[in-house]
Amino acid sequence: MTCKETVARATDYCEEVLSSSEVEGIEAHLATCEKCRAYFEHAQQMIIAMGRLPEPSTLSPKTREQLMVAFRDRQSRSSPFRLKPLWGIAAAAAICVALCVGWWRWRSNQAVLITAHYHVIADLRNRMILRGDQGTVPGKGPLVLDRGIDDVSFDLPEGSRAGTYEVAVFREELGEPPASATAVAKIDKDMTAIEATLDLSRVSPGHYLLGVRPAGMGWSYYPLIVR
Amino acid sequence: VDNIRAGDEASFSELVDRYERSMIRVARAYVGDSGAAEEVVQETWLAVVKGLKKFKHRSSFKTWLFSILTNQAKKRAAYRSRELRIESGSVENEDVTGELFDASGEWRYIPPTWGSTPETELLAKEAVGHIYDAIASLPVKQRIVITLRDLEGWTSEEVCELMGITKTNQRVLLHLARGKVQQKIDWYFTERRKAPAHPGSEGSNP
Repeated sequence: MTCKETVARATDYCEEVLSSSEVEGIEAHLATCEKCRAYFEHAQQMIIAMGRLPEPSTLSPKTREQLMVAFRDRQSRSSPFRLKPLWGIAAAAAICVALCVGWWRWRSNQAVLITAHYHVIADLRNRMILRGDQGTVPGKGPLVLDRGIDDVSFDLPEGSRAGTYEVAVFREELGEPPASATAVAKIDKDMTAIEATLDLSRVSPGHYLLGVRPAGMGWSYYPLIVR
Repeated sequence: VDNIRAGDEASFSELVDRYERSMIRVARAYVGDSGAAEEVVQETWLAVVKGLKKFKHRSSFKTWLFSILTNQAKKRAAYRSRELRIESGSVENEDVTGELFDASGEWRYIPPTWGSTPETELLAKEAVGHIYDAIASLPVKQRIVITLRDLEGWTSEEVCELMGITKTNQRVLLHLARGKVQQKIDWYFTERRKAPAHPGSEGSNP
């Protein structure tokens, strides 16, 4: 084994993915080669040092406070009777706060009305694949999704791998999708599923193709009706 | 997480404490500067607050949190996500240590010694700056892999899951990243030792 070949396997060696004969080959080389030994030792020292680099700074107090306010606001909205007392605040300030709170609630309610979010599970197993690697497979009819949906779990066909997936709603002539999302697929009891936040509120009702693909791979298409 | 769903502010605060530094580091690996990274982390937590009821224990909380962070970071730097896509094809062809060797595979130069207490020297303020610079100059995928694996101590499985890459790909990216950082540190020590008249450039480490 040459020095170049030994160094090229440094990471595989550390990650313990080499066969025992390859490991023996590397160790035999290291025993006789001072330069490669130095390289491996440096690699090890560097990895240890990188694990002990000074911690990055925390969020600024201002950002932190904004987060806590957002959290409180969210909580108080889910339990509407927990209103903060406004006693003791000057009348003018009280009016301002009331207006702001009123506006904020009005705006939040608007947002909720538009997205009216709820969660559905769309089973893509055994559905017809129109295009894609596996050719045409007959299956159940098209998928139907409501425009109000913003959170969909897709159960992927058997054998789909975990990882990042792209989901997109295409018009039947393809082109730029009017809605798309990225999500990480999880394998649970032989079933691969992705949970995607898909905004269909701006997709007009009609027939579409639902495209699903692992990052960097080709699309698989499923017939889709948006209501 | 269940406490937070029930509205426990202290639990939420504790959760932010636990993850904010890691998140800032990973966000920085995606978007470059720390101001933008802080905004990405803030947006991530806002999305968490909003979407907490959607979290279903199907994945670990950490995976869920960092997948939101990743999405926020990609949104923030669209050009970087383009960079991500371009890079994904050409990863395996890069030869990081090639120039260190001659045609027969022998070392072209003597790797410099890093000193008798290399670890403490590596963690000296100046060297730390060089390590950060070396990481910052990596292509984005390599930067993310080395940040997660070596700075944050994630397992290779966790990194593959978050990035949606294969184990082999993860190892290739890690190898390239480590190789480049190590070469930069080598150069740094070589240069530094040139100044005070070569204290044993051939010596072996203890």
